[in-house]
Amino acid sequence: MKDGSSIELRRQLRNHRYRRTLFLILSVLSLLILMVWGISMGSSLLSLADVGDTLTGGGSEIVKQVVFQIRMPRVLAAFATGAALSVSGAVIQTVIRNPLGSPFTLGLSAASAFGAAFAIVVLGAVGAGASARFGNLAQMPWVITLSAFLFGLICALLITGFARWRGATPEILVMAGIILTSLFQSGTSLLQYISTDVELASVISWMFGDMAKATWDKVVIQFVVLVPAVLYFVLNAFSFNALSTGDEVAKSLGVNVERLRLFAVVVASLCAAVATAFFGIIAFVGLVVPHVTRWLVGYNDRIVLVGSVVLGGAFLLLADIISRTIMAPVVIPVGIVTSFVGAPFFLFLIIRKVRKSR
Amino acid sequence: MDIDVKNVSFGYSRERILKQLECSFKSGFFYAVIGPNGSGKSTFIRLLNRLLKPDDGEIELNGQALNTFTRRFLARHIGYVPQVGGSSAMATVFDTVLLGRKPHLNWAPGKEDIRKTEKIIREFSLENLALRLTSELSGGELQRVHIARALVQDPDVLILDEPTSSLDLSHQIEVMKVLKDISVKGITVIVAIHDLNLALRYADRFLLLKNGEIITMGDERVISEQNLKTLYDVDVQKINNGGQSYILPTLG
Repeated sequence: MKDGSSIELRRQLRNHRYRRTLFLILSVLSLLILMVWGISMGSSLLSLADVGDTLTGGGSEIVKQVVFQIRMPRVLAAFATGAALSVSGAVIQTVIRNPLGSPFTLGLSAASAFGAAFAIVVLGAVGAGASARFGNLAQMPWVITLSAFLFGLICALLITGFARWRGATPEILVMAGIILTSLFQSGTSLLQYISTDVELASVISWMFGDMAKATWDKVVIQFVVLVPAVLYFVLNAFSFNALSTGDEVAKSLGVNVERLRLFAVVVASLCAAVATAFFGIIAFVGLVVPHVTRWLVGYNDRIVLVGSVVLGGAFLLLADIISRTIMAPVVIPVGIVTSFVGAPFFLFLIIRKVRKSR
Repeated sequence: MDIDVKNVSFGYSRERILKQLECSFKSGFFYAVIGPNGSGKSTFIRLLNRLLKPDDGEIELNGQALNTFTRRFLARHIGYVPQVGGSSAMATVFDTVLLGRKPHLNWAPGKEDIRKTEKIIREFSLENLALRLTSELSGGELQRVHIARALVQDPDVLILDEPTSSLDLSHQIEVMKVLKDISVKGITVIVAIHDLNLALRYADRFLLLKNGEIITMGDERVISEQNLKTLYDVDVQKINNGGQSYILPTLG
């Protein structure tokens, strides 16, 4: 009898693992298909055969130019951005034990937006005033990116400091996030109020998350941050699982709770800050994709983290393809698409959850 | 493993919760920590595995100060089960029990960890629930899962906070029986518990706590009418029936 139930348990567990592996394989396949599709779509439509030719070394010069200089960086940047935002959302949701956790909740996006506005309005990184004050340096879009990134980082450090001061509990982190969000938003409003028309337009256009800003440099930097970050997350996935049972149990299981939570928040912030600094604010990816992933694969953090990377990347790729085609030849910023898709989808998830709990 | 509590005091901000406690827990005994609400039971047992640190005094594990050990070392020797309702995590029963292997592994669980988890899941008759989410379980099932998780840690000492509160009668008995079996196998079991009759039925040693001070500690005889009057300010009768003692409050 005991042997029978033991075999049955093994069988169940094996099936469970197969289903998860199958899911991951299927999502990676769809991701690859989306990548090829993303390369073929755009103002000059390339056939899939053209894309295939070019990727395998053939193709004409013009097609090569389009594929390698424009479409490839854009597709890879969309993947890396989606992956970074959703994996950092998944980690933040786990470590602050709050389903509404995301890079937004901790005030990172607001801080980056303030950083961009600061570069544009105070440093004068846009328009005629820029050259007069700072020469060529301030004209470079890098100043805006760098400032956005630095303020994202400052926000992460403030949260970290706050957590070290009052203890890194989920409540403290959420409160710190709310305080910092409103602080940076007020700062941005003030800067917008004192800005010129040109500066105001630049600030607003920066805030639209847009993958058209993608270049190879940015892609390389993104991957340099993303790959070690994901590795760190996956290696610590079992500790994250322990952390989600509560601080006391996690401690009793030998987890250094405060250190893990701080490191995780800092690394997640770094991922999100790089993405936001490069491409602007892209809403809902970090919030919705982890939930969808858990809905599809369950709650084991290792699978959820890997799944969030793949699905987050795929989701932003798809959103970017939609943003390029839905009003073609006009390309709308991808941030608008993710908001339009993400908001109702989140509502759907909430309704589903409410129904289930009845 | 033995735990010695030496002149330990603890407080939150200025309020003293525990005052100069002095006691010992020996291997293989089943201890019940008893006292009214707010007497400091939960706080006391949290000190024993360093979830809280004493303000004064020392707690020793086999003669060595608790704060000289790493968290991981402690986790390999002391298991902890909080009150039911404290955990809101979503995970399958299998993954929840598997977490108990955390102190024994570096990154991800290996074959041995999976094997031990499967074994304990069978011992606790949780096979049919293995892939269910913990949020779908009843209080009794969840408590069994938590105890299984603490046991898969291979602890020498198991500490539980109110393991039977929020359980119905049959689940209370089931959980206490499991704990008794564990203590018979040589694991020191320490529970904070309100139910005097369950404690009398299953525990071997009793620690009576009031206003953060130990009234007395000892075997079944310390659960006397007089001590309980001191403890709860309620008159009780201790009745013996077939070799088993029961406590009945004298009402009116």
